Amino acid sequence: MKRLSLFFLSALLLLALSSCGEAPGGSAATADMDDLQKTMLAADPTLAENITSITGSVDDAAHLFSYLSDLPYDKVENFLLSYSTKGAADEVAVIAVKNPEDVGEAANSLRRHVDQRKQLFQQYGPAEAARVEKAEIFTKDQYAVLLICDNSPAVKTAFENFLPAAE
Amino acid sequence: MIKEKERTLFITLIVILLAAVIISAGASVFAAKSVYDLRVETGLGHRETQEDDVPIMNGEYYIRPTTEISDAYKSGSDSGLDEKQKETLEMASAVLDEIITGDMTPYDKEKAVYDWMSTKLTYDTGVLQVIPQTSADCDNPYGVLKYHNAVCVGYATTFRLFMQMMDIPCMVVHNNDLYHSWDLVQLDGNWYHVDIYSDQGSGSYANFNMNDEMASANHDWDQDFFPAATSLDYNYAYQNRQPIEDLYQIPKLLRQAAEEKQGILCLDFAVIDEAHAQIAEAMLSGVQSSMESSEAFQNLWMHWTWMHITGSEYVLTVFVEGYDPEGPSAEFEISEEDQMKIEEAVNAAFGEDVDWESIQNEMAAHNDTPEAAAVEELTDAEG
Repeated sequence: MKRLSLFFLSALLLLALSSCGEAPGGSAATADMDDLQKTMLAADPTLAENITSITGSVDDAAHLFSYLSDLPYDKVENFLLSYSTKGAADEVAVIAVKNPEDVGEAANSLRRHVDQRKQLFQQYGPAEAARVEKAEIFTKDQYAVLLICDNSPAVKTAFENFLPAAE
Repeated sequence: MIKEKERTLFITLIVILLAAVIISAGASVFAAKSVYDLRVETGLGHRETQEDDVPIMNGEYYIRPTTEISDAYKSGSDSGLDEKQKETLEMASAVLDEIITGDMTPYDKEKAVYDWMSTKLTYDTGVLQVIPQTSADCDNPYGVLKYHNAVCVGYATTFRLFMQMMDIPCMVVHNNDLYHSWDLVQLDGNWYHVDIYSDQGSGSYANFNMNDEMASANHDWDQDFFPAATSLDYNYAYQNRQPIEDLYQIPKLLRQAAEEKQGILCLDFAVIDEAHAQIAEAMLSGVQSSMESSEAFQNLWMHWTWMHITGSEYVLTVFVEGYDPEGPSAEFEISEEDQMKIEEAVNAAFGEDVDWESIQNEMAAHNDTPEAAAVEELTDAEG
């Protein structure tokens, strides 16, 4: 009977854990998003003008993040988002997930975001829609990255070079 | 006795386990329902097509009814309106007083409203930001008429308000992806698509009184819900088409149009086959290429469409855009020295690093404001 009780208690414990929906696995140390943002933007001088930026440290970050990605915010360790304020498609975004296993899901959410942006620009600014089609999305470690800019190779290199220094 | 205790403990555990399963399942259903509600609220979920109370761009903007205001206009009583609606009514009435005369036909009235809206309103680029930042009420007639700044929903609902005030049947249409809206207007029993937002700035009539065939080139909508638009009678290009017999006259006619700053050229080919249409296209491409390398016309760009009339008759409509806007800046230059002084004064006061280019952008955005008109008057007086 004691074994049976133990079995039920274990089952309850497992159930409680799975009900929370929290995947096991801790968060890895992430790069400083403010510094990463500055480094990436500096890599493409055309991004210097008419760009506004936020990171996960701003007030209402979870709400603002929803404009970038539909990934549940509790899976996000931090993020950065820089975008044009003058009707252009330029955009640089990095999502750092808590669990590296979720990075593919984060990248897919960025692909959906790009599809929406493409639809928007096709309707309101076809010239910019062509730039959105050249969007680059890639992952590295716990990061999913989106680049829509004139010199995305330089921004990508800046991102990749920044990480080892930060770790 | 011990066995009795064990049995009680066993039953208790079973009950707890069952309760946990039920609660867990309930929570999942509740969460799923919440997500569904959210999707419907934000327009992401499936919904039946309707004209009003439609969320556009993930719920950033809403198509709202405008009949309360137009009914008040027609009845002459604004007693049922709130303060915002009363102000909207005042502003809309003032516009109609300014642009509508008693001898106008419904088409004349519609065109007068199109002309006013396509030149007096500006398009709010904030809608294109990843995190949209548009001015207040840019999706409804109140904000549009007060600040002259609009997103597509603002253009569409304001146009409909004007039409309703003049008893011209009008509907606001939205596209299937809930990203865009425009109008359907009825003249002499036939419906026409009007998308002033897409003609904003140019006023080229490219999206004025289109039939379904023309509109579907860059719009998609629920054609089972909205009425069919099959007539071309009041299409601007159709009404203003000029017959052309010699294809090779196209470059000359386009040069003439560009010199006269004409935004639209409608050429009616009574009979044209595919081979000759290709020759016409090649000539248009040649003209575009020549314009790009010409000093006088390098800022202009063209786009064109073929409109099927009947049999082998087609109208080739060429839109020429990019003419210099006429305004104070075209007549009066601010010297570099003054530009620097302005920059310094602004930056000293606010501690920011604003450059001359961003100041110019702001000036351009305010070209239609009363302040800009005052500057223009002053410039004229000094001139």
